[in-house]
Amino acid sequence: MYLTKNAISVPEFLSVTPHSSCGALATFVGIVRDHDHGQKVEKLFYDCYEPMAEKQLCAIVEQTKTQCKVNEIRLLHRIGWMEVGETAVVIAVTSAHREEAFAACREVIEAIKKIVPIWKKQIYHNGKSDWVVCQH
Amino acid sequence: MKIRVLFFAQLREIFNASEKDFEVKEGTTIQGFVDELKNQGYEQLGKISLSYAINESWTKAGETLKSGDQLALLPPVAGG
Repeated sequence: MYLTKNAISVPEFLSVTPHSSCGALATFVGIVRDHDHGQKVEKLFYDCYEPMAEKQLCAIVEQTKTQCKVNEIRLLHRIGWMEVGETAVVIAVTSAHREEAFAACREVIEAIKKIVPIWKKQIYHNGKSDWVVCQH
Repeated sequence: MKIRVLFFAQLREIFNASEKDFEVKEGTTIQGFVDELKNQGYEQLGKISLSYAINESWTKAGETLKSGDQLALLPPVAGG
């Protein structure tokens, strides 16, 4: 399962010991920030087409593992309501060398933003809200 | 024939529902179905760049709907 409605603990997520053949662990952590396009963000809601998103995330992980020749890719994406400062997504890639790990980590987050059916609603301090359209 | 349509993000708000069943004629394409929704008062759909999935797989607007299909109307995604 790549989706969770619970708070993500990054230290806990990263506590897995990499395989002894791996010399690199690259991570990406996406955090809810307090502003967007000049507006103060109070909180976020991630809507999701869960069964399809799980399939898409699985496909992204498998394709990226093959394409970037890395040992393991782990990821967790939170859905539902989130406050500023909370972790929205965490990705950890292990590989023999750093280049593949960095490349795979970037590949996964960019793919998530483009093809996984997850939508973000931002609630602003002024009470207004809107559904975010990513510029990809 | 009957299809089930799934709504997400702003579409949940427009339709005030997460899913809804519709009767459509044999041979109806996704595009034809969406155009019909626009004619029935959901003209806001014209302002959203929609993508589509049938039974949890991405598909094209020209795809013909089949009885029992689960059609998801997908606004531009914004995960991560």
